[in-house]
Amino acid sequence: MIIFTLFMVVILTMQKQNPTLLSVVSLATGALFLFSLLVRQNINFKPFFTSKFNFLTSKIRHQKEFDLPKDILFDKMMEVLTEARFKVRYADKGAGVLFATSNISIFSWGENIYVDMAEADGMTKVDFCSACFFGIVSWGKNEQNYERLMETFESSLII
Amino acid sequence: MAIIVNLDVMMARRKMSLNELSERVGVSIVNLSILKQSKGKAIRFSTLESICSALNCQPGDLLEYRDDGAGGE
Repeated sequence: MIIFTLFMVVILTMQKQNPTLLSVVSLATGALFLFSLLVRQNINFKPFFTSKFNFLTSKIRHQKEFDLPKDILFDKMMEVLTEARFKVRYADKGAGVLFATSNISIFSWGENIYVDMAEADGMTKVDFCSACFFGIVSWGKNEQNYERLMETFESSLII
Repeated sequence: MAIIVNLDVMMARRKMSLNELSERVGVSIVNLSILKQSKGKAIRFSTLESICSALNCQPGDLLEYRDDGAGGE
């Protein structure tokens, strides 16, 4: 959020020197920001946010295997996401797809968390992706999200 | 896993479903399923006490040690 504000200040300052070019750049950036803000909670735009070609969204991916059946792990992950203060926006148990968002704070507009599960050889493979909805740098927020989720998961296994 | 949780055996003996046990104990069905499959990392004494109370059994009826030949691992 701070970066975005600074960016806007720089754009407005530089606009005096080359008004046309900077107007186009700032308009395009603003439009992209608004578009991302509007569609960020829509699961259909998952490829847009997770694509490696979308350099405007900083993202991290992690893969982990769990010794639990997919059905149980899915319910557990739902529980863990809520416990870890993420907001679950979409859940499809059959497909093993979960989508959650983190809260907006003074340092971040919030990140999109995508969890995909697939069963293989009695294990469940989990693909985790945390993506900033708009921002080239996440300032460690994506890593923090993954660590928070895993810590909550580990501690939730103490029943 | 050397420690086996015989929750399913005790539930069958008491003819109690997972839903019923979950309501009585106050532990979610997911957590009980994980416990039943011996996939949990640890069990709290309070949870053990609640389960024993609900199933009218002893901790020894629920937990069993089996030597899996892995040198105590």
